[in-house]
Amino acid sequence: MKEYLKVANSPIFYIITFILFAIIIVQVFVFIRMALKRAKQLNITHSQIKSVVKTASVTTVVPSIATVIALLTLVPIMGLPFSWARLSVIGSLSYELAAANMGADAMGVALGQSGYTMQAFLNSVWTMTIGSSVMITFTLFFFKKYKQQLSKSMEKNRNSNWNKIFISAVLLGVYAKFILEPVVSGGSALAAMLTSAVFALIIEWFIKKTGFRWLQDFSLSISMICGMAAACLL
Amino acid sequence: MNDISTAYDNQAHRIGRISLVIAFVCTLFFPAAIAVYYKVPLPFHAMGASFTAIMLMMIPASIGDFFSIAPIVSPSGMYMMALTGNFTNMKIPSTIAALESAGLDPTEYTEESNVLSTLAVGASTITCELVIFAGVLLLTPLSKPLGNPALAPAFNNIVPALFGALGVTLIKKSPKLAIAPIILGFLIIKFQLIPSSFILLALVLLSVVGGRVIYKIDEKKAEK
Repeated sequence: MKEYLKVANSPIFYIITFILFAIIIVQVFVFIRMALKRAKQLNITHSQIKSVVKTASVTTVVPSIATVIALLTLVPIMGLPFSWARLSVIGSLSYELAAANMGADAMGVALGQSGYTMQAFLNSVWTMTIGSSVMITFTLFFFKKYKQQLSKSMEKNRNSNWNKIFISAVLLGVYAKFILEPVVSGGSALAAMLTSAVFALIIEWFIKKTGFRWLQDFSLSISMICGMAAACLL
Repeated sequence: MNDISTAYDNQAHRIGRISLVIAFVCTLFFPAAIAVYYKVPLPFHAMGASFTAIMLMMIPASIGDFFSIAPIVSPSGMYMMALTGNFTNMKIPSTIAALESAGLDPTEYTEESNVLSTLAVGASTITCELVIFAGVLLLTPLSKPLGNPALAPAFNNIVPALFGALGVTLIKKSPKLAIAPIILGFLIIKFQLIPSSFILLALVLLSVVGGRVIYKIDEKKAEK
C-alpha cells in the first residue's frame, strides 16, 4: 500500500470522521427539535409534517446514490475515512477531485501516482479542507444580515405579488443553469432531462385523473429514475 | 414578522453559526493530524499556491450559490446546507417537492414554509448521511454493481434527470418568468459568454430582473 494511504486509512482519521459525523447529526437534530416545537405553535398538522419528511427523504435517496458512487471513486485515491468525511461535508466529487489535484499540482506531482508523497497528500488534504471554508465564511458573516434585509423587503411587499415573483424568479434562475447545460451538450444528458420532464407531466396528469394523491410523494423520484434509464438506453 | 418568529430565527442563526465554526475547526484536524501526529513537514510554498488556486475557483461559485439559495431557504436550512453541501442537486429539490406534498406553494415564503422546509432539509440530510454510511459499510459488495459500465450513463445523468422533472413543473406554473433566464441563459452557456463559475449568479440576476419587468408591466396594466 502506498505510504500516504496508511495515514489516510489510519484510526485517527476514522476518529475525526466520526466526530464530524456526530456534529452534523447533533446540528440536524437540534434544528429539527426547534422546528417541531415551532410547528406546534403554528398549528401545523402532523400529516403535513409526515408528508414533508417522507417526501424529502424519498427524493434524497437517488441523488445520494450518486454520492456513494463518488465515494467509490475517491476512496482508492484519498482513503476511506477522509473521502467519507469530505463527501458528507460540503461534498461533491468534482470539487473534491479538483481540490485534491490542485494540492498535488502545487507539489509538482500527479494525484495518487508514484511520487505522491506524504507532503503532497497533506497539501491535497489542506486544499480540500480550506476550499470548503468559503461557503462557511459567507454563511457565518453575511447570511443573517442578508436574510434580515430580504425579510424586511418581503414585509414591505407583503400586499403585492412581488414576493412570489421574486422567489419564483430565483428558483427559475437556479433551475435554468441545470436545464440548459444538457440542452447545449445534447446526448444522454438531454435524453435524461427530457424523459424525466415528460414523466413528471404524465404523473401529474395521472394524479389529476385518478386522485391518487399519495403518488405525488414519489413523482420526482419516479421521473428521475425514468430519465436515468433513458440515458442508459441511448 | 412577530417577536416569536424573530426569536426563532435568531436562535437558528446562533446555533447555526456555532455549529459551523465547530465543524470547520474539526475539518482542520485532518491536515493538523498529518502535520502534528505523523510529523510531516508543512509545504508552505505549495500551501500558498494551492490556497490561491482553490480560492479563485471557490469564491465566485460560492457567491453564486450563496446569493441564489439564501432567499429560498429557512435560516436553519441554510446552516444545515452550508455544512453538508449538495444544495442544488439534492436539498433544494427535495425541499421543493416536500413543501408541495404538504400542500404549500414553495414560491411563497411563510412561517409555515420556513418551519416545514427546515424539517425537509433535516430529513434530506439524515437520509443522505444514512445512504452514504450504508455505502461505506457495503463498499466492497457495492463496487461491482455500481461500477458497472452499463449503469454509468444513468448515474452520470442524475442532475439532468432531476432538473428535467423539477423544471417542467415550475416553467408550467410561470411560463412568462421563464423566458428571460431560458433564452438569455441558453446564449450565455452556448457561446460561453462568461466564466462558468459566474453562470448561476448571472442567471439568477437575469431572472430576477426579468421578473421585475414583468411585475411592473402587470402593475401598470392593473392600474389601467
